[in-house]
Amino acid sequence: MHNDPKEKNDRLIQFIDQHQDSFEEDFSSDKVWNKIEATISTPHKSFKQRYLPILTKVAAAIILMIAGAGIWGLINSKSQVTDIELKVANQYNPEYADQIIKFTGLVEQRQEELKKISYSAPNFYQNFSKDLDELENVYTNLKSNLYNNPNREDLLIALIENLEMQADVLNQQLAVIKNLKQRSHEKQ
Amino acid sequence: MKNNKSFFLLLLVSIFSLNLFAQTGKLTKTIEGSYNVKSGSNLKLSTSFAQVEVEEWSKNTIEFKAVIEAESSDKKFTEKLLNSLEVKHNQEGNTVSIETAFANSNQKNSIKGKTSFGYKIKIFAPKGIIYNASVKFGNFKVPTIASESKVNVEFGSLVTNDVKKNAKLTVKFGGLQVNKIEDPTVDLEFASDKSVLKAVSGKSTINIRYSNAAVEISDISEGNININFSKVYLVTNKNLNSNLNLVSKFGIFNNSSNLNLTISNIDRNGQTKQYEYLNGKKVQIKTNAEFSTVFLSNEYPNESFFKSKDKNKLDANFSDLMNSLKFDEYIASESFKDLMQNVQESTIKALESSMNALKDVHIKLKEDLQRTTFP
Repeated sequence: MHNDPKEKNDRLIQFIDQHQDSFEEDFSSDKVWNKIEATISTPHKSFKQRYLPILTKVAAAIILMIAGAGIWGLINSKSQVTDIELKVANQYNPEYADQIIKFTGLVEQRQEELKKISYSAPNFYQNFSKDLDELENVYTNLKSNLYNNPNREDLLIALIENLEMQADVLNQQLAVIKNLKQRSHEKQ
Repeated sequence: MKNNKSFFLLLLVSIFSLNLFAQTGKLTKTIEGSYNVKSGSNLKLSTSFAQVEVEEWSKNTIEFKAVIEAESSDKKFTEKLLNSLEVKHNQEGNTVSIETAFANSNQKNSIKGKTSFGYKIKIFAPKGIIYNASVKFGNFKVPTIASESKVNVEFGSLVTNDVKKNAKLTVKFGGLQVNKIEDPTVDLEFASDKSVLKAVSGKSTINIRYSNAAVEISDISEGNININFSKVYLVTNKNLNSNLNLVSKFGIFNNSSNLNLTISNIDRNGQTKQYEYLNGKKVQIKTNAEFSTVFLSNEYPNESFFKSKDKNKLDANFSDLMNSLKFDEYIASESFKDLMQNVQESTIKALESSMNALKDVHIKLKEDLQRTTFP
């Protein structure tokens, strides 16, 4: 009578039903997985492996920031204070430095302009250059004194005046050559 | 409370002390000299950063008093600087020399912070002293410059009442004011201050480069006036003492005087013109003007003619430069705004990214610390 399979099956189902709670308690997924996890030997991650990706991100961010700051700095500092006259000028009055930068820019721009149109009056350009050289020599001389002379403010003012004169001289020379050029065009 | 009071008291005392130090930052010393001279003696002057003023007297003595001022933020340096500043003076034969100098050039290299120094030299001398003067970075005021004197002023102005025959005056980067001058040789270059030669007479050679100046020519009997890249008023308050021949090359000539001049073109292009005034005299004032504007006038120009020479013009030029570079336009443009927006966004992203990364590092480190069992 015990060998009847149907009877056996019914009894098993009955047993499971009666002990369902204890089964769920003993074989809950969390517990099982915790036990499984405990048996698995987790591979040991080195410091490099653990933090390298993060550190790479941090480094990339820092590089990006530095590059941004560099670009910002380049945009903002049109003229870096490198020359002795600018260093001294900033020490006395930043307005002096501003003026030196302004007039130096003006002189450079006018010189370029003059060079471009010099072909139309090469002889004049050659003679004009001598006048400008004279002023430039005075500037160089003043500048060389600036380092050693304690009366720096007077020298700075003379330097600024010299640059103003250079700009003025160049303006006059440009006007002359432009005029000559225009006249030769009209002739043609 | 008591401590607070003491602190403020100490602070006040410190501020007061600093103020006192600031007041003592300027130091002065005086150097004097006296030499007996004969009529027609020479005075050799060589000065830098000195305001030199001569006063004439009836004694046959040259006396001078030089006050030297030195200033810096460091009292010790000021003392050193003052000690290094000298006025060398001596007499050799008929020549008295007065010269400003640094005593010790090694001290120059220890300049710290803002420093300055200057001389004020007052000279008492008899009339008729022949000057051989070089004055740089300072003005030279002298009532009379005797015949055969040579005066060179740079980065300063020469102001004098009367210049006798055959004196040679050279002024660069400054100004020149003369009330009366006879048979002179004058070089005026790159004038930055008022430059007027009144009552010029006799045989004159006047060279003016890159300057604004006025020259009274009525009494010039014979002369050469060379004008280069300058604006010059030739002033005549009556008929000229000689003929006038003015050649203007690449320039402008403006006649507002009572004199009638004839005009003729020298070259075909009309770039060189000749203006002549003939009054029957055998001598003439020959004026060559290149790239210049010459005004023939019965009146002296306004003060603004001298002062406005560079400044207004340069301001305008600077504006031109700014316009040509179009900085303002670029800064106001959409492309500049976009660039700035991108820079801002990139910076914010970079900051966020680095903040997140740092947070991750912090969490991981915390977890590691919790797991770690210390022995």
